[in-house]
Amino acid sequence: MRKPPAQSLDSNEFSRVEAPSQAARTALRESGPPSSTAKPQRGAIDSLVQASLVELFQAYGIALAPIPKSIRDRPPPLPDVSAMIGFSTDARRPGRLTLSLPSAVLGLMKGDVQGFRQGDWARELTNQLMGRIKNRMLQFSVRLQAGLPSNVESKLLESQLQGAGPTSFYMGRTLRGEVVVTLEGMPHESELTYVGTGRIPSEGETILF
Amino acid sequence: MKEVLIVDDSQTVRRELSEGLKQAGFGVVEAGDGISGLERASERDFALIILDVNMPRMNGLDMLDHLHRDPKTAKTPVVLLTTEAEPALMDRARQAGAKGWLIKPVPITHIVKTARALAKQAER
Repeated sequence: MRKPPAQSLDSNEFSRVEAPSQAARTALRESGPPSSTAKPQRGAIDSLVQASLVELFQAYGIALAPIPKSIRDRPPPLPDVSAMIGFSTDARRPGRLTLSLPSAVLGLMKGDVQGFRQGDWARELTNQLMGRIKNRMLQFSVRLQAGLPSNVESKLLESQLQGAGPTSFYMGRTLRGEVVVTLEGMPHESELTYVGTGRIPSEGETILF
Repeated sequence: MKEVLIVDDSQTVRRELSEGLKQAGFGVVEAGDGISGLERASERDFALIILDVNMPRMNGLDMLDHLHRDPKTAKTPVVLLTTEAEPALMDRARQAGAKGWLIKPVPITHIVKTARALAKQAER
């Protein structure tokens, strides 16, 4: 089957889906059912995460298209393989990035590597996504300190996300199923000050000293 | 046969690099963290060490410091292969004697090319 060209993807079509706080949930209930067409505003971090996700999958030959979503108060069903990585900000605020994707997508990426293990590759992809986000946050003078990635059962993650604080959900569709990213603990948009990229190299670059 | 030591906590990354380098005529030894990497590095002379940064037990930059301090391994060329692109980390690696910094994902052809160039340079 022919893959759609990666160039046709527009990462700006991604939507950010916020899991509202308890107070916000109450407010939503009081104001009636949420509008299925409501779209939260996208900020710099959303754009940066969305672009990182599209580019990461593109680097491994997988076209990933955004899925527009409306505001919802619970996480979407997660695909079967999940990994997560903890991080902290300069302000020592803890955060977490998770990546969930179907095993068919993992297999499509690296299934031909001898002794391939899905969990291992899901961890590495999560680490690489974190790396891209970290590197892009440097333009706002924000340094994220990331830990090591680990696997987590998708069902367990789903239940954890139900009770989590403010969480951003980013979703994309591939030919072999949907990909879900969650992000907690990033600085608020109002805390960001653009300082420029200076000379921050990009993924794929080889720098010889 | 020139040998390359690959130190990365992802088995998939190690295997993929290993397959590419073997096809290019290199011998390959693998390690999954900094401590195991140091043990492998002390066992024989490598033409090149490819080192991840974020790893369990000992990270790549700390392993690089150890390699640089040990007269047995101080002259072995080392490149970092990592998701990190922070200039301060690159400076630290440069000061510790690393020969290069590659930001994942890097095509295997580039890695083979870099390995050949650095192995040749080390021969001189």
